[in-house]
Amino acid sequence: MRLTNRLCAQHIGWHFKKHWLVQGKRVPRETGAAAELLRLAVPVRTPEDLLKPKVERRMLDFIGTGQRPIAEANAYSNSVSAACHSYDDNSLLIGGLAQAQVLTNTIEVKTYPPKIEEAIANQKLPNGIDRNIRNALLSAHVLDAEQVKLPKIKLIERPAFNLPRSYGISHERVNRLLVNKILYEIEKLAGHSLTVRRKLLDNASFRTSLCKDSDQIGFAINANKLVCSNRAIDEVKLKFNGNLPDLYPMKCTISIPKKHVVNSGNFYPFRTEATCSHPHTVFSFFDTNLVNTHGSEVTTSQFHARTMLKAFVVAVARAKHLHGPSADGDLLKPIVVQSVQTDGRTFHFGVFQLNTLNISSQNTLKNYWFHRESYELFSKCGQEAGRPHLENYNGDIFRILNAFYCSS
Amino acid sequence: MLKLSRVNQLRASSLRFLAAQPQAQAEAASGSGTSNENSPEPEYPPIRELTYKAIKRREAGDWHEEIRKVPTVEEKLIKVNMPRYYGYKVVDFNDNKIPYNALPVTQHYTRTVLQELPLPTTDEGQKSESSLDSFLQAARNDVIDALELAHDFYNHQATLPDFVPSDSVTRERQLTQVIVEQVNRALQQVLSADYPHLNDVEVDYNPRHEAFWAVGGVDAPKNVQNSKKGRDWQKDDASDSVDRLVQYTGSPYLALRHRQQLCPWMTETESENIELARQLPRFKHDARTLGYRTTYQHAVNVPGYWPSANGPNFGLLSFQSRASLQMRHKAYGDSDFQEALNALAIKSSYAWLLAQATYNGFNTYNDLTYPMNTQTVITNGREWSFYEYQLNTLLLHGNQVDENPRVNSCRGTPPLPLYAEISEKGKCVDFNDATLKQLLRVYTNVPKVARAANELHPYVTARTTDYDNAQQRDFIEKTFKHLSSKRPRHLELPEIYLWEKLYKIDYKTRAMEAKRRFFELDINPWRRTLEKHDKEYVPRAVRPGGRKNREDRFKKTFYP
Repeated sequence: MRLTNRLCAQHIGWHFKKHWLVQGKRVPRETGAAAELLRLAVPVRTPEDLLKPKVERRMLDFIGTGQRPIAEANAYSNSVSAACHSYDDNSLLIGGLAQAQVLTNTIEVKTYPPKIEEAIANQKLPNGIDRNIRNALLSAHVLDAEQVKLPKIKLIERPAFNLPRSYGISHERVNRLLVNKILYEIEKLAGHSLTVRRKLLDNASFRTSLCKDSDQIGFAINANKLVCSNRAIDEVKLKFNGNLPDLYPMKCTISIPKKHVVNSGNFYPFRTEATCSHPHTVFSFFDTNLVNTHGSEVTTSQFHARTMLKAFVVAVARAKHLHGPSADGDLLKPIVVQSVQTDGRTFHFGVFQLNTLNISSQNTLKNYWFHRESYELFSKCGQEAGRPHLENYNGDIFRILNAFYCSS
Repeated sequence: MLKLSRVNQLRASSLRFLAAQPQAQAEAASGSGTSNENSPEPEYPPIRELTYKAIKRREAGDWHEEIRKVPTVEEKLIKVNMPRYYGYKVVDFNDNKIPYNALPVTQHYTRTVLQELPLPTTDEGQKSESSLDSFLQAARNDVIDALELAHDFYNHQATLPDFVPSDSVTRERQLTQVIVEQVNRALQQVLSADYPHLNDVEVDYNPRHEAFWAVGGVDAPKNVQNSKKGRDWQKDDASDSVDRLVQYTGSPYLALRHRQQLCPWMTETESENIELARQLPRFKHDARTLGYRTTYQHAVNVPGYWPSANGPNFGLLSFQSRASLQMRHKAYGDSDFQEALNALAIKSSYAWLLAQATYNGFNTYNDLTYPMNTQTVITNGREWSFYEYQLNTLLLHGNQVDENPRVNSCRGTPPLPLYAEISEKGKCVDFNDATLKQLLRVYTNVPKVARAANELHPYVTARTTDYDNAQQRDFIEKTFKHLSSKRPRHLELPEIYLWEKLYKIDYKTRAMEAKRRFFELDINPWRRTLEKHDKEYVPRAVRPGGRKNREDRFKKTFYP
């Protein structure tokens, strides 16, 4: 047997311990040597003085934790890329929508494009549809049988308190099922002639980079669900004027960390030849673990900014895919991308129109971002006293989604 | 001893007496029910066999009857788990591992006959053939589009440096997931106008399929045999078979469910065939000899969702993955690969149907009252194998392996290529219409069988959600989900440490020490039943009936 605690408990370790207890209390016998040395004026030192010499502690003083400069001479220095601001799925714009507007040179329009507004108002839906959506909602949120360990829950009043970990459906899966099921219902209504012109894909990656007033910004995002169509969405012909918000004293690249990006080229998930390669709608799932740089809750404005940037990146990646990675400047044919973000309960819809790739602040031509406030799909959904329970279901969301899907 | 032998003598004589007069007894039994209390014939209770084996069999039968009488689906599932606090020792059957020569054990464990899928030959078949051809023309381009898009999308994505997963199994899984979702969407769109049942289908994405069952006819483990050989009265039964419990865990790419059932393709007389049942392969060795593992876990039955009344509770079609078959050794050969595919189809279909059957009140101890059907497709995107499965019986435990006349049946095709390859330019080369036709046949198989509620679930008399007591509903739901979550117990499983085995059991060197461990107190922790735990304390502040109420100090439990 190995010399383990158990074995030591059994015999030898126990004896050693007792033995050491006795031996440890030994008192050194007085030999008179110290007194003799003192008499001869020889300095007497204890063994501790020799074995553990005192080291004086050096006090460091610095103010705050500064951002670590990126070392120039490292593995990446040989590659083409330099350190640049990189925005990815885990980044959050601290300034919210205002920052996103300045960053992307975009005007906010607080309504949907007229075509979509019209479609929302005029659509005719069968009677049973709300019941179907309710069922879809319950089957995604409550009735799915996946059971994985869920993230830790912290009580704000008692942050040190450890609650029991609960098992249930993971956040990503809830969103995936919910979006899939709602899209399934929409496609049933839309009929074959329309659905054949759309394609649905999961987890499409988009990479692109842009120059903003001498700052290089790399974007790398993931569309959790991408709806593409065989025709691009028509641009909104109306002209909108407005000024960009003033962020002073912030710079628009604040809270976008600088990183070395190995491959900062443009990436669009299809090759040019593919028939159904026009981006139509981007669905993105809000990651509940995401927090802003101060560790506080994500605000509504930051949430909205995330929706917008997803659409923006997809549009830019598409533009560069069409006109070459070095394309820069105003687009002859604007690119329109619809964007939907959800955390399973809150839905935010928007339409982005990319008029120009030149996002520097001097450019007078601006991009457009059409959106409204976010909607709550329900106020409560879960098991309550052993019964599936859904409270305050909001049917508007399905209508908007339907209009978005059908728009062209 | 003297007294016992007297009793045995008496019993023997009475048995002899009864055997001599069977008719008289029958008459007495029939006459007794009517009225005459002072009838001259005495009324004897039925004589029960009192051998050890018979008692055990009767106890098991009583327990199965108890399970049958439990009113709701969730409670039935809890009831099956009641005897074991730490879970059963189960053979881990999953969809990832198919060892060499897995078909016999799979057939034995599922009581399944394997056949070739016959080609449709009847007139009706030809009629549907012509309509299939028209759909084929409509669907062909859509499916080719879907395939090309899926490949283009995935291969292009794979050029990203941080995207490519390292192993080929994950790569195949990801690509096939994309293909299956695209193809399913395309086919549903093409067919839904003519086949309205596709509009009522519920689609499960990577659902969780689990099933638990008991299998008889497997040789007893060596330690059980040796232990029996050591006792005189059990010596003769030492080589008797012992039941094995099996737990299947799997997750297909997609599964479609519908409110109604598929039509069975085997009549009742065909499925009740004792000769056929006797010809089934019997794998008497422990499944671990092939490479399966055993674990301790609670019995879990899940067909992808939690029990819900009037939902789409019957499987229509599931797409299984064959990615993990890549890991099998090349030397196993082609015929074994085909057997592995068959084994995968059999066990995944059986397990899914069994889980559906549990949601209708049946389980491995209470047999089905009607057949259930499903279709299974195993694919890697290019090769597609099609299977149909009919579940006729669930009784496999104990002697049922010899006595049960019913068998389940599976029929399938070898893998058929849907296309030869995707060319460099991303075009689909040599698209195979026959495979697509087979796929269309699967989708156009309309589920027609609708049953009345009492016929559908004869052993379910209530729904948990209809219970009036909110506390009870809550308890059943939480317990049921806790059991199926496979969450590890808070405290570690009891264990005899090696030093204890040496110094406390084999050589009693610590005679003076206090006896506190379970093996010193003669407690078998594996016999601990599910309800043997401390009850949850209800703090005074939230206690029903006020702070001073002592009756409700602990939360009530509602174990069936």
